[in-house]
Amino acid sequence: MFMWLTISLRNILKNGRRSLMTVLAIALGYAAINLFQGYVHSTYEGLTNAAIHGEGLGHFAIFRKGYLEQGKLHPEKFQFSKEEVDRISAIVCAERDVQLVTPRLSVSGILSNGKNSTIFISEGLVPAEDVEIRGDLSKYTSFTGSYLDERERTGVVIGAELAAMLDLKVGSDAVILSNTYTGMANALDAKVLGIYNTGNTATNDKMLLMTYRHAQDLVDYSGAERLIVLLRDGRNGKNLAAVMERLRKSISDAGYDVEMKTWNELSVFYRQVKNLFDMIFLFIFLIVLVIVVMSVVNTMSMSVMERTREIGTLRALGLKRFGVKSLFATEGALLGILGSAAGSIIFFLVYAAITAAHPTYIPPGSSNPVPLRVDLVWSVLVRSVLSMTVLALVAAYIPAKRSAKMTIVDALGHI
Amino acid sequence: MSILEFNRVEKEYRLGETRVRALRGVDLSVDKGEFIAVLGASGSGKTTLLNLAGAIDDPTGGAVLVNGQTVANLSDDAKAELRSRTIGYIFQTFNLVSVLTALENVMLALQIRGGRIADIRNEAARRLDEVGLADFMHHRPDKLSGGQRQRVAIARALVTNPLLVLADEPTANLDHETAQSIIDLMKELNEKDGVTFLFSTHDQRLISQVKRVVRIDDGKIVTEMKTAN
Repeated sequence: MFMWLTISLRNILKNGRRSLMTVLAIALGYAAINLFQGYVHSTYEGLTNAAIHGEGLGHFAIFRKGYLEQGKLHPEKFQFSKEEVDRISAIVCAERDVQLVTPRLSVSGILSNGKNSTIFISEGLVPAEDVEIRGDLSKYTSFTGSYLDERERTGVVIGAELAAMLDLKVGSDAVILSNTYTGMANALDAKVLGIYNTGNTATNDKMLLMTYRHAQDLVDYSGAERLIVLLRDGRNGKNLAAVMERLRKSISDAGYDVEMKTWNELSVFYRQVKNLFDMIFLFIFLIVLVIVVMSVVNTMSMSVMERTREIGTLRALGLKRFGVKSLFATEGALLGILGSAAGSIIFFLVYAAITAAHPTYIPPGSSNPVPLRVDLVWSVLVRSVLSMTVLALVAAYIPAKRSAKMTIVDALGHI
Repeated sequence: MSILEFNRVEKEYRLGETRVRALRGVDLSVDKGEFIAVLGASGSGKTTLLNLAGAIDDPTGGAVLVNGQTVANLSDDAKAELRSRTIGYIFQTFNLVSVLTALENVMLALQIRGGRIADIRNEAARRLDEVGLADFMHHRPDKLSGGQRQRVAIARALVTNPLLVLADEPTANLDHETAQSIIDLMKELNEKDGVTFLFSTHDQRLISQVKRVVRIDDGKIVTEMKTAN
């Protein structure tokens, strides 16, 4: 084996310029893939945090069976009653991995400043529990005023664009109007406690947060639409699935027919962005794959052609066809390893530059600039080395296979 | 017992639309310890005969037996095994691996067969010493003269202790003095160690030292005679 490595390495060095071009192609491909993967990883992390904590989806939500299909049309039929909320919450809280369970009630309607009005979408939530899930919104740089408080039963927090549209300031009084579940119009007072930037242009002019009790008063209903569950270790997919399975059984045993959805099933935005990035990554990977394969095949084809007589000699000395293939495949794999090593250097240089420069950009749909980050994901870096090596090995195997098929007499007679 | 036997061996090539009969019913038997020269004009079939003897080509008719085994009946891997254990090859153009040193080139033949690296290194060094290249072990082929390269090729052919060493015009690319030293070396190995040599040549000096001469013309053995050597 050592001899084949020696021959491979020395041939790579012998054809220095040609090998350098191939190594560079692999290196650039490696760096491009890993920089994009690092960026995507950072974006997924941000989106995951935004979905679980920012959007307040928790790790999963529990709905009455059928709510997701028909709940919007017939909310009164597919929501939890107060008693169900209490009993199911007790079952969920008994699970050791659960950090928190909290009820939510979605409402929508019209917000008015007395002269003008516009639509709003809202979440009725328990402020203290929401703070535990979401973190304190006052930590957001674009937050003004204070957050919801159970003691301020009519208090609301609204999106910055919504506030601007109705010229509402912190401390302003307003009116919220919606239909109760029985179809009656209902209007309640609202006091603006805080104004914040939701970070999303689609919701910044509509979002309104109110207390759970306030929302119940608005729709004249004492139950909840769903229960949000936050786990101690919900990012671990296996743990999440196991907890959900245990709770599904416990809740079913207690006689409740429910369905559960994880945060990523509920976050449409996360799924859309992930699908988009996965598609872009596949596209980049295919381009890199073609470049690397073509480059290695070209280099190895030339090497095989130049060394045809050597192949004939080795075969005449007793080397089997598999040995010839192994020899060139080893050379391909070495090119892959050298390319990955050079690619790592390029990656770390760019990574260091990005980390030092702290660039920002405004992504589509966002109202705030976000930092451009590239995460250092060691598992991806190592996996890329293996991928590049295997790819180069397979690419080298194609001309090697052809050369191994050649008759020894023809190979020895090659000029 | 013969270590090499040709029984009514035929070999046909196809060159485009033309069929070339390179060997026509050749019978030949080589015993252990022989030192045989195959003579003939260019295109007479010398190289084809050596290729068949070395199990790197198959006959289109008849049978070639190496150490009692019919070569054509063997699988490709079995033929490779046979070449590795039974046959040593010396090429006209030396055919050394350019990126390896003299020592590594000789080791290569043993490494193909497998074994402990330390033993392989020692045996290769011993063979290089035997052909007078102890001081050139770590030189690459491009730093060696033609004669030195052919000595490396001889060491490589001998290092596996083959039953039969085949040499295709081993002195054709060498100057007079170097060719003579190569001939002396091959002769010495034959006489001292009993190494069997079968080679094609035009070199009269080599012919004068062989034990048997086989003359081939147009794919047929036309004369075969033993000499006083």
